[in-house]
Amino acid sequence: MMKDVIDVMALQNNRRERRLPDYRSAPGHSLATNFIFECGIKLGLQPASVATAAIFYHKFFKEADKNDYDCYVICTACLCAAGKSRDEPVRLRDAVNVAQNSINRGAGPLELGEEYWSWRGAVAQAELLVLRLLGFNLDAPSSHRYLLHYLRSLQEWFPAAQWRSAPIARTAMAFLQDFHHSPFVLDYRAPHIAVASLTLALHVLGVSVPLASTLDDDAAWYSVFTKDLQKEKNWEIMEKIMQVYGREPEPI
Amino acid sequence: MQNVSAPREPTQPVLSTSSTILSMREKEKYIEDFDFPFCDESSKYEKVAKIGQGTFGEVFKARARNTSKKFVAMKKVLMDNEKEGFPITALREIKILQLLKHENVVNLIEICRTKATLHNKYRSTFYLVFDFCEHDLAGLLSNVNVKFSLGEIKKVMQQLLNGLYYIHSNKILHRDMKAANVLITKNGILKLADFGLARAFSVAKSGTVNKYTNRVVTLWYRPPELLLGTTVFQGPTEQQQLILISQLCGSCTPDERLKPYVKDPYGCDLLDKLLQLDPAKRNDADTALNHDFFWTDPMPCELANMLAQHTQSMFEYLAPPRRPGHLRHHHHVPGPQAKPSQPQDSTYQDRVF
Repeated sequence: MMKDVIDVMALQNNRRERRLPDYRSAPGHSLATNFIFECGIKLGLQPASVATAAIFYHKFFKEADKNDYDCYVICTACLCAAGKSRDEPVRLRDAVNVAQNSINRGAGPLELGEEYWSWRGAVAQAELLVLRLLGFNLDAPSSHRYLLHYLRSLQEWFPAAQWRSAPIARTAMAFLQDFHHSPFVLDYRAPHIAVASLTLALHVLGVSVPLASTLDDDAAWYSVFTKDLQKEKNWEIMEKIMQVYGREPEPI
Repeated sequence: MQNVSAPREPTQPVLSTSSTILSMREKEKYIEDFDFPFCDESSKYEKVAKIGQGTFGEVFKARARNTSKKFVAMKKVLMDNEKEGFPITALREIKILQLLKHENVVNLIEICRTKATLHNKYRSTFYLVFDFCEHDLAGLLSNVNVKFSLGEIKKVMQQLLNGLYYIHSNKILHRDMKAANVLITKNGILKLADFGLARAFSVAKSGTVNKYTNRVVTLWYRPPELLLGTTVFQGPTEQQQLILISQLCGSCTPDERLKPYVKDPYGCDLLDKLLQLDPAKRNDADTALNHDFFWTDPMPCELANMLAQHTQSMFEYLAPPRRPGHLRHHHHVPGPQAKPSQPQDSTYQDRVF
């Protein structure tokens, strides 16, 4: 009886394990940002810091050739640099172990041997490389902050019951965060990305901003947030966000 | 441990996803010749003299090798014993300096690095490169030949407070204010420098308290509220600590003892307001700038003319050590004829001891 229970649990664990991405068999950089997101969450970094790491990654490989560097070492270095730049440092040892364990699922922490020191040295050097290639410009655009302020303003504007009936904030934040899988996140300004994430969330949830339809242009409600975002540009960013969900291989 | 310092730059693939496998020699060559397009080599500047040394590391005066021949100050990023990669304190300083752009804050030009060679075990050194300033306030004050008029003193204070107002309104705390960190150019423009201890702060929400360390500010210049709770004035209770502090530093309330030294009554009043014991009552930079001290005769006046009489850089680091009893003993009388053999070095000479 007891054995059966344990077997069921083992089976469940097994399934959960199988749902996680296998970085070892993924071609090239196809799962690089997934790796950053997974390790970032495991390291307890705030979403904005994980997003910053993804931005560092995209910036790095805008300049560098993807074939020249080990994708996961650079990703780990980006997490370290992002943590430091946002005053949320992660310990190098933790970063190395989390990265190593995510690649080799089920493996324990590394012994303090050759492999550990190689990893650690590689990540430390890669961090210096990333910093230099970014020209020490570590200020990532704070689209999370913009979105937060927009959401707070909108919340005041919505009738409380309507605001509660749909997870607008959570959905918009999720779109914003997921957009950082895409290198296009570098192409737009932070307030524009925030508005696009918010508009997309409203569309997906079928919610419209109260009284927006009385305006000549029913998308003009966000002009209080940012004056210089054209309707077409907003749609362009929303399309780029949606493209993230059509990536191959399927993100999990 | 020796593995950490092994040549590994750029990164050695841990998983063999990288397509090129190089021999050791090829690797070394590759590292030496690696070009960082956004981070120049420090050899574009030529070191002239060392002008500072402290827990933060070393600062050098250097000159651009290009046609501008511009002078800069280079601050070395201390990387020894750094087990966590590039030091977060240096990153913080860089981020803060990139944010702050103001006439009264030192200007960060760029970050440079040395070439990684066998000579430095393939580990680059990093430098923060700043616009060069000829003097620091501590150096100027320690030189008896430098005499500030009241109007010039006002100008120094005004610029100091302007700089402070700017950094505080950008939500940055300097946390190491002292005369050696206040630079003054030969044109009399004051610049706040050394943001190595600085950090961003958030305005505490009502009901919560920001918990920042009190182990900041060079000991001599710490305000009383930061001395409480330290190990410097050890006492069993805060009351005991207070007694120890007041025994050493004097009374906690405004008194007459400053009067003989600060003749100007407005100046004395401003000092009292800046040295208020209760931090809540102490004047902030904005309030201080509105003080009558700055708006009564003699009005603040430019320092350039006074500084033009001195052709020698004055830094605390280069000033002769003060010995008790020899306080006024000053060998180096700067003069335009002192060293005429260095015409290319603009008009400023660096003291060498």
